[in-house]
Amino acid sequence: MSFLNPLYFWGALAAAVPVLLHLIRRERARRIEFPTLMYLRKVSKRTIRYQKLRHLLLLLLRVLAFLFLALAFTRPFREMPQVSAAGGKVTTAHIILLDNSLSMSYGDRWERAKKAAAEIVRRASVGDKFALLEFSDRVFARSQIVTGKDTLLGQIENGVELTEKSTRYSQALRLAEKLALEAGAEKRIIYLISDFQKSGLDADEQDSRLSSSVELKPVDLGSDSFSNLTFGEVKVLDADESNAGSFQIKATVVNYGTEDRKNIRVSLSLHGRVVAEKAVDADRSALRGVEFQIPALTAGAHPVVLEVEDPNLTRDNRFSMILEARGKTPVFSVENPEPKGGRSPSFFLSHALNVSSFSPYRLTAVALEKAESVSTLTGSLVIWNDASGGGPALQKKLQDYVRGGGGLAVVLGKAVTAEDFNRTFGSWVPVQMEDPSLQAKRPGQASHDYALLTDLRMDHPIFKPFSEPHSGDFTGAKFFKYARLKAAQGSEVLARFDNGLPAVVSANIDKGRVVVLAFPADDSGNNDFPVKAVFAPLWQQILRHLGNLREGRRWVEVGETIEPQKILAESALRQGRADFDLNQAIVVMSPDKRRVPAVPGASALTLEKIGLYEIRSPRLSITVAVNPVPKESDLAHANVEEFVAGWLPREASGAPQPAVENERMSLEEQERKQRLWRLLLAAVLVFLVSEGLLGNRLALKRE
Amino acid sequence: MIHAHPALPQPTRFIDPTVLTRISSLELVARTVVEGFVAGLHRSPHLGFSVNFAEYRPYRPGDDIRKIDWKVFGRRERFFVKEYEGETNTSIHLILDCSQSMRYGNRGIPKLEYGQFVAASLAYFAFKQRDSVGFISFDEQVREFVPARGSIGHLNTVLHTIERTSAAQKSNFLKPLVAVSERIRKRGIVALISDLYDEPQRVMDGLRHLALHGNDVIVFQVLDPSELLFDFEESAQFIDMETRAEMHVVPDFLRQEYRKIMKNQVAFFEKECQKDRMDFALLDTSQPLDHALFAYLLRRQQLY
Repeated sequence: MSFLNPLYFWGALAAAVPVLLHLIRRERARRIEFPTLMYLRKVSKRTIRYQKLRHLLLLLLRVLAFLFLALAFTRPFREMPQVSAAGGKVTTAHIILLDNSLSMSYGDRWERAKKAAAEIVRRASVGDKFALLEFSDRVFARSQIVTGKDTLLGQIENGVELTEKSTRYSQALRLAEKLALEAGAEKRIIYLISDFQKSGLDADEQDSRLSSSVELKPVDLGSDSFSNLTFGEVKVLDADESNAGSFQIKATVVNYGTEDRKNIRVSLSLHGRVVAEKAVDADRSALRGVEFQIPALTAGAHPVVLEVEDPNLTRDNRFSMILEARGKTPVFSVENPEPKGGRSPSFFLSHALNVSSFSPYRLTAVALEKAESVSTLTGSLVIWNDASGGGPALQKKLQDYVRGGGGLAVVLGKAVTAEDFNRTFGSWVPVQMEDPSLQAKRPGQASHDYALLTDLRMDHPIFKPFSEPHSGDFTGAKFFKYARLKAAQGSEVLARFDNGLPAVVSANIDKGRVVVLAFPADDSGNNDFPVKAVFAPLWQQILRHLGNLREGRRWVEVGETIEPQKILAESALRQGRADFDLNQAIVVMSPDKRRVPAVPGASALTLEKIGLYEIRSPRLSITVAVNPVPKESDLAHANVEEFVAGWLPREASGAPQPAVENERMSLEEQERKQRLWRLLLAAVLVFLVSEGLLGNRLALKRE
Repeated sequence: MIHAHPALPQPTRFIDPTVLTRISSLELVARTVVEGFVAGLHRSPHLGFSVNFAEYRPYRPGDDIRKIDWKVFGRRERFFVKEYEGETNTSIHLILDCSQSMRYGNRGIPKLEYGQFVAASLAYFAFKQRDSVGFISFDEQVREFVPARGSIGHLNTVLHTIERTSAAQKSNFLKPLVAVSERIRKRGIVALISDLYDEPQRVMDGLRHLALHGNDVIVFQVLDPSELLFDFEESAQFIDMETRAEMHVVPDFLRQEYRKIMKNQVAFFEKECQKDRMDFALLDTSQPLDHALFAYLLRRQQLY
């Protein structure tokens, strides 16, 4: 029990007032002559004793009222019940937050951090509580709240380890605060052992505040002078068609340090062998571009590693990537025989798809009657380019192809009648064509005769690239002749004409996809769409969608989560290996050639290390390149005082020294501890009321 | 038996004892009281007076001219008034307690003074009735003894003696009362004016002695209101006025029981007096004096 205002104990002297009054009045007792004491002496002693007792009780009540009043003013408060065994000292919860992000491997920071943590534990009092949290972009509690120092020292010495991930303070501090508040100690201190990278401060952290009962003590291991080289932006360009399989790599070397660096060696290795080397100069806080040409690679995935020579913070010196060399995807345009003197229906298409080395497609026109003879459609895409209906064999072939995972685009021009379409596709594609096709009488007639494309589904993968402003204008194209389509259930209308009829309809059929376009791919019927700028990109997008093509990412950043099964499946698809079974067992090997234990029930895997991960299945094996988070390489040092002030509770943030020892308690806690004064005042009230009643009764008797 | 209780005529008709203290002459006090009292009474047929000639005296202005003896004027050519010696119907002995305890007077006048007023008033009243009046004061022993007589000059003697009385000693009832009873030759009314502060049994023994000699005894117990109510506020050192013994008293502690004891005591005297055919009247010094006169009158009525 302690007292907020012990000086008020002097007020307890007031309790002597009734006693003094009693004594003084007794001393000054008048002498009264009375005729005889004969009868007074007859009054029984018992009555006198009883009366005396009542008056003593009255005196006691008055004394107690004064005493309790004085006591209430001293504001007594309870100590916390969790008093340590060490002689009633205040128990403290030490929550140690240890930064184990990539930047902590700079110089001897990690060793110093461990020493600082151990020192905190050693200097703590017996009976104090501890928790050790390691954090980077994630927080890992090495232990829950413990009281044994030795356990924690052992963990600091051998348990903690550096990671290669980036720094994020906010969630770590939040968890530490939660642990501190749950520790059941009177004093709570969070030690933040870190290099206080500026890049670790998120914008959202600026508004975060810790509870007022938690103290934040920073242990700063960072410095304002440092040196670090790493790769900034890296771009990989596929070479042109004449040089298929070759790549151009454009990288920037960033000097994050505070001094200029000259003649730095930058190397490129392929499959672990250095194939090119360059020397660059990097001024402080500057970028330096460096380019490498990689000669033609055989089809398949090739691990490429860029490395900059830098003795400081070596873990971010390497930048790996997977370059996948592959051939162009064949696209068959099935069409009616070319009319004499006319243009091929695929005239515009071939220009749109075979445009340059950037296009991953190679269009081949196939006459309708020869289409059946195409040996296999697997690995290729098919455009049914305004061809009239084929025979049953061709229909079955197409259906099997699509159901097996193929992609088919149906272009409806003047040659296709509703009957042809419905016979060929009506049974398995959920789109119907209705007669007659709409045809404007003559070009140049009333303007409302042509249709425009509207109501584009910009969220669909086909149109998504056009969703940004100035990314393609479809409204300029005029359609004078187009098919009247009816989308059935299971299909999706991606674009409509301005009269509401479907213009582009997409449907998934088993593993494959079908896209039906209600307008031709050439300028027949005076359609001017093929000469618009969006024609080629749209077709590239349609084929990309049909081919279910997803660019394999050449690298990912550490800390990202991947789904190994899915990556394997996509890779299999790209390689035309339709027989890949999604459910087969896989093994993931980390860059240090250790098997990554699979988490039961979870398909995702977090990439913890920098380097090349290997995902293996019995029939396929792929490599995933993992690079450090670029911002983690920036060792710029934050202002620690500002940082801590930013985390202080609002009312305390004005304090000049955030680290000042100050036991902060929440208002509720303070009030709870001190509420004894209320009880005391209540007791005073009871005493006074009792005194009043008793006094009144005695006075009444006197009457 | 008469009590000083509110059923009696209201004191407005009578003069407050404290007012009487301002009158220096005891005779005047007695006259004031008695005449006030008599004025309120009907003419009593019992008021006999004597016809026996006593003496002549020269006329003084103010004398009733009817009393002038014209025969003597014829002879002597001077006015003489005829005075008669009263023929006494009865005699009254006033016994006043002049012990120390009678000095007490907390509210109003001291008991002794009140007793003196009562005695004087009774003496005057009795004289008016042509009764012979005697006066005795006592404490441990008889202090003054004026035998009863009916002459005019005797009243002055009695009144002077009453006025002279002062308190000095402790009281003792038995011895003086026995002595008084032996010295009263003619049986008559004996009025004892006292606070009766002695052993009750001893008081009663003394009174019985008076009664046994054929006297009609009236006992006036004179008490101060404070003695009855014990209405002291603060604790105090109480000193016995007779023995000088001391006692620390917290009035609050004793009040209840003291009152009870006093009430019982008064009831005891009343009951005992009744038993022995004595009259008992409790006189509160804050009450007018006429209560005493009533008591006397009633007693006298019973006799004749």
